[in-house]
Amino acid sequence: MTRLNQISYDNFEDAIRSSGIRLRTGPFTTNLSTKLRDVIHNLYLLYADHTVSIEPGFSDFHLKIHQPSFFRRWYHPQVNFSFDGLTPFNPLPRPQAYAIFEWGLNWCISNYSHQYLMLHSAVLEKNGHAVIFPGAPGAGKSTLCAALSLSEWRLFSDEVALIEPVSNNLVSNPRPISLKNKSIEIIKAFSGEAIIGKTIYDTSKGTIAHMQPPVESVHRSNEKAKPKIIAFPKFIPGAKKSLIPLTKGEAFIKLCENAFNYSTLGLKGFDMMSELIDQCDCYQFEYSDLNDAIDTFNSIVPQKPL
Amino acid sequence: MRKTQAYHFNTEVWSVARVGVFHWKKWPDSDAVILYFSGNGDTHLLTYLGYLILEELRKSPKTQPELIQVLTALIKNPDEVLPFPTEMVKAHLFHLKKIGLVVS
Repeated sequence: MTRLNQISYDNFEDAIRSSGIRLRTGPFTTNLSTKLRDVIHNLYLLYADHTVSIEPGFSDFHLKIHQPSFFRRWYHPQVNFSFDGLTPFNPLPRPQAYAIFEWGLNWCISNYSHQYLMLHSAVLEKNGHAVIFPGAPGAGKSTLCAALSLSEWRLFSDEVALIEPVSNNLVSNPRPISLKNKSIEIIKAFSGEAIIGKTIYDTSKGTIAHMQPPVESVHRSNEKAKPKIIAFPKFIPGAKKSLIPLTKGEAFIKLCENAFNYSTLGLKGFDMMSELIDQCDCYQFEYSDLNDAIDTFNSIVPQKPL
Repeated sequence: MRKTQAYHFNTEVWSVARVGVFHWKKWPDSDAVILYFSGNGDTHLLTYLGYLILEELRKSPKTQPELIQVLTALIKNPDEVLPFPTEMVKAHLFHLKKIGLVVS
């Protein structure tokens, strides 16, 4: 496999339009084919530092982003997501083609990776210590995640925490960060280093755009980390930052509510969740200012590397 | 009517739900206890009193007075002058029944 930015755009486009490319993201390999130029262009930009192969080989997921029929190419154009030849979602308007790829890949991971305990969370790491930010959509976790990843924190994921059984280590799967609505401008203003892809309007989540994951996070994606802090973030405009400790019991239940497969794993899920909570300090975190938030986590993460 | 209800509650025998195993997660500095019940795969946040009630009923079915007698002995504090919180036990039993962990 080669870094995508070492393959010419033309070769990449030829491969993805024909038999597809194999894209490596963390522990997963995805075979992806599409003929849609905007998807190809956004992939080439946002996954520039990921490894890909244009040769055939094993893949965990086989995805295709395509237009449903000849008719729908012209009349209210639509786009479909196919997974192993099935189309699990209704088609979306054609301009949302790149979004359906990212959402579809999230869906594949959260539905088919039960070798991990999976939480709906952003995860970042510093000094070998991982911080888990579980949160419902709109809680401000992706914005915080983007800002931390642009401030010398290593991005593991902005969407799914993957926790290995036995070791309870977090597995890194850095992919583009999905920014929504005002967050897009907030992150552009926060750092000139943010590389942001095409803006997609009128999705079910509003306006969205994806931020390229930092190079170092992608290059170190085979390095795992120990969970140290669980912080449930909540963005409240104008609020003063507050970091309130949660009891282990409260944190346990809140984390279960944010898990993709806690119930599926049964007793194994309970045991893994118990160990995770034992290992972590747990907080409710409210903020309105990203710099304040970054200072807070810089101050509470242990300075001593693991 | 009220007398009949009270009488019924005192003689009613309480026991844990038949199918399933209780798995507990406790922390030394916390009154909260997490229960995973293998019978239906549900997870619950309970108080320490809820934990004691379930553990006592797991050992053997009991009426409410019997349960209170055992619990009083278990959490007896020589400095404690307040009466045992009978109403709290009653409330816990109703809650545990509602979430399918005990039957009467």
